[in-house]
Amino acid sequence: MAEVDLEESGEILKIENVGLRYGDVVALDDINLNIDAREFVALLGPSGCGKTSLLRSIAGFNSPQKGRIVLKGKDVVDLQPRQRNIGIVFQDYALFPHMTVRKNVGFGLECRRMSAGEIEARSMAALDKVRLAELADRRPKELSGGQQQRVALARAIAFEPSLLLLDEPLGALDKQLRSRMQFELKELQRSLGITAIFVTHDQDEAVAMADRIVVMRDGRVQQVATPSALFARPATAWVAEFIDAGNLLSGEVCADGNTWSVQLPGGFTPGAMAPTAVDRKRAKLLLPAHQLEVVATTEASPYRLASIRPNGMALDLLIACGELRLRAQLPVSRRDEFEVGASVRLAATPGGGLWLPDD
Amino acid sequence: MVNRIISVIAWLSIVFLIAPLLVIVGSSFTETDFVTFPPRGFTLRWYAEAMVAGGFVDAFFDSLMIAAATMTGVALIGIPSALGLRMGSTRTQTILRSMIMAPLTLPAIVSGIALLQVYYASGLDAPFVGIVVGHILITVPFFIRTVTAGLESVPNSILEAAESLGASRARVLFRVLLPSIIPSIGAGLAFVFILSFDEVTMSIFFSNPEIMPLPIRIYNYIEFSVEPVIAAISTILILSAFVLVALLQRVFGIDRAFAK
Amino acid sequence: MTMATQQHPTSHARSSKGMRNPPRGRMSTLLSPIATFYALFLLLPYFYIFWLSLTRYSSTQLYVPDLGLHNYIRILTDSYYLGLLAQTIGLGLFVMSVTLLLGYPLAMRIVAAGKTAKPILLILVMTPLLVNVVVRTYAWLVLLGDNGVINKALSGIGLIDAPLPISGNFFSVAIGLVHLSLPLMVLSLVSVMEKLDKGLFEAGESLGAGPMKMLVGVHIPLCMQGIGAGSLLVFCTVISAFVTPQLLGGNRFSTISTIIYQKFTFSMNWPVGAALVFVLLSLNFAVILLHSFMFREK
Repeated sequence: MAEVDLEESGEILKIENVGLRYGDVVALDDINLNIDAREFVALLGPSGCGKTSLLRSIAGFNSPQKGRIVLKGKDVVDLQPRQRNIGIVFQDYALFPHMTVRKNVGFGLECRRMSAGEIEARSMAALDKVRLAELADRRPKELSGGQQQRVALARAIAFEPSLLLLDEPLGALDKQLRSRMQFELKELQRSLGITAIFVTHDQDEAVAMADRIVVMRDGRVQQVATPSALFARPATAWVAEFIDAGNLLSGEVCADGNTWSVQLPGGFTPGAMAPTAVDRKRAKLLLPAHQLEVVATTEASPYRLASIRPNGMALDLLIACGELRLRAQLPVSRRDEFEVGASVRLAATPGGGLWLPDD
Repeated sequence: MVNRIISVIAWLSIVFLIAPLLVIVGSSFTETDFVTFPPRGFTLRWYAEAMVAGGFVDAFFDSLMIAAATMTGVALIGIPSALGLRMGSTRTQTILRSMIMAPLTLPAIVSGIALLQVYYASGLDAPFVGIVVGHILITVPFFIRTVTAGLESVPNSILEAAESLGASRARVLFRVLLPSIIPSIGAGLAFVFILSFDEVTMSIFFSNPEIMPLPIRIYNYIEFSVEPVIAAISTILILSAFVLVALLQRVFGIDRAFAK
Repeated sequence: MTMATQQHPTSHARSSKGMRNPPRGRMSTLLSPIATFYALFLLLPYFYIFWLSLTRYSSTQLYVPDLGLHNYIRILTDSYYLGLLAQTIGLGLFVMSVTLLLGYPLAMRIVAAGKTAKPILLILVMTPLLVNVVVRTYAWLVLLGDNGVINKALSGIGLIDAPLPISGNFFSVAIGLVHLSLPLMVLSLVSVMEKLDKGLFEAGESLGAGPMKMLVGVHIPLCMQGIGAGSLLVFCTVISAFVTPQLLGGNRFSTISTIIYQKFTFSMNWPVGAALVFVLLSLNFAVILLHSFMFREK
């Protein structure tokens, strides 16, 4: 099994102007995406956003009416799935029930007409990678969900594909197993040096594993960024809301020089640098929870502390004023300053807010 | 009160179902030359008689041969049909499926007569072929239904996985799809065997002294004899059925097929 | 990293639907065996019978190709055939009702039975289905009949002087058919009843409903689909049945099926027999249509 191939670099996959329609329904609308070698990319979005359609188009189970999918320099749009040399891990693992683990993993190698010795060697190597070698002669139904998933993985990498696709790979696992598998999956991808794309609706998972995240909505790409860049600068209010980047504030926007502020019920008026090319009437202010300063006060204030909850090393506060709810995050050391139901004063950390287009 | 009535009727129904069969079983042991219940005396001589006289043993083997030939024919016709049904749009599938299941609604007596006319008109002298064709006609919808149900439980992702791994269409079919449905094919064939073994109406038209399935043999015997040997043969069939159903329940848990 | 792709691009035109379609040719090859089989052994024979039904009976040749609807007209106007139709339909309705009345409580008790009783009951109900119809009908030949078990028993006790006429008539055929169809009805009902939400009955009881009201107001309406399916199955089985009416009906009681048989084997009146075949088929078809209409999804 080849380890990191230092020769491999540059663009592995190029998706150009891909469009896909099912009858009247537009599943993918002019998708453009470049994926480099050895990247681990997440397709993230709510259900119906097209992430699975895009994955299946890359795999070859969908036939886009428009555009090109260029894999290692070749346009594969007209190729059958079996000709694309792509490894796929399906959501339900899709292990062949009548075959042992060993046979399952070796299936792709059999299709490539390797000798029995080769097949055995490579299958066992793949199983070693996922640490399941001792279960090689079991059948899928005798394995746990986590084990089945690893067999599916071994099967998909055994023939050294150009690309690895994973459809909600960790969706069926329980929470504990999921965190562990996130780490293992990422490790495996790195050690193999394989380019991988996975689909998920869970942004925590995307952040944990991906080098870059592709956020999709209604068949279009909203933003492509590294996890930190995504949280620091979401492209739109929708993206910010989807990844839960913080408080999204809307209301009467006043421009003052190159600062815009929004007046909230209760009087708090946070603001930030005016953005370029954004319509003032259709803009929202993103104020991350840790950029909202909260101070307990004895004076009368329209803002009350509705709840306070520890969250690891931080404190999650919920401030209420009428219908308005604001979230703040403070160091856990400040717990004693606050009492639920008490009045508080609010301030925005300078430079903490970000104006985003609302669409 | 209402519950009492329900229980009484339920009990009556079960007794009604079982009692006649028990009467046959009982009367098979009678020492008289005619069927009577309660049996007078106790003897196994009618069972011995059944083994040598009346042509029952020959008829049993005839039934086996016919069933075997039917199972083969049904498999050859039915397995490709079930596979073919899986393709195409859902609407095509529904239409084709109703067309294939159509013989289920046709009375056996009608199909038997119709087939017989064509058989005569063809001038062929092969009653075995005629019977087997009739049996296949009756049983193939049941077989296809069973296999189709088994096919449906094979998720598409399995086939897509095979394809993505590089399998050609033939490999997907023979190495992935067919092996997954072996159990339903087996169940379907078992079903066909039972249906063929018990088939009467159509077989009436094609039977002759050379080839006569067991139920027809019994049918003819009844018309001219009241000897308890019929009760003996019937008892053997009833008990076989009972054992078979009990085994199926034990091994497969048939009662779970009716549960949620 | 190696790339082990076979380099043959397909001439796969981009489908307008967006999905990869399996080649149509594959599907018709797979379906050709059954298509041929049905064409030869189903369509051809039935078309022949239909053509026969349009010919005329002749006592010298089997039939005269004088095509017309005369046979059908005769059947639908002649009092004998109308009586036969009425008799057959009456038999169907009677057996259907009796199996429903007997089967419903049995199905209820089966569904409510405990872990040991339920399989036993199901075995008892299913065993007769694996026994061929001749043996199942033979049981009633033995029981009914002037010298049969029942008559002998009753006169033995002294309850009757002369044997009861319980053979060779509507009654004997009906009872034989009830015995034949009861497992079908019971199993149809059981499969529906098992899926009922027990919580509904607990709710009904908590609201104060007595067992009668629960049965009529809740249980039966919820089982309607099963009742419909079972009734359709039984009715069609009965009106098409041949062996049981033939064996138990004697010379005096006939159904459409037994007369059809007679026309083709003894009286050699193939044209009328063929027309009766299509009358029976239409009856089956009409009942199936009626059932789908009555039990359609609302």
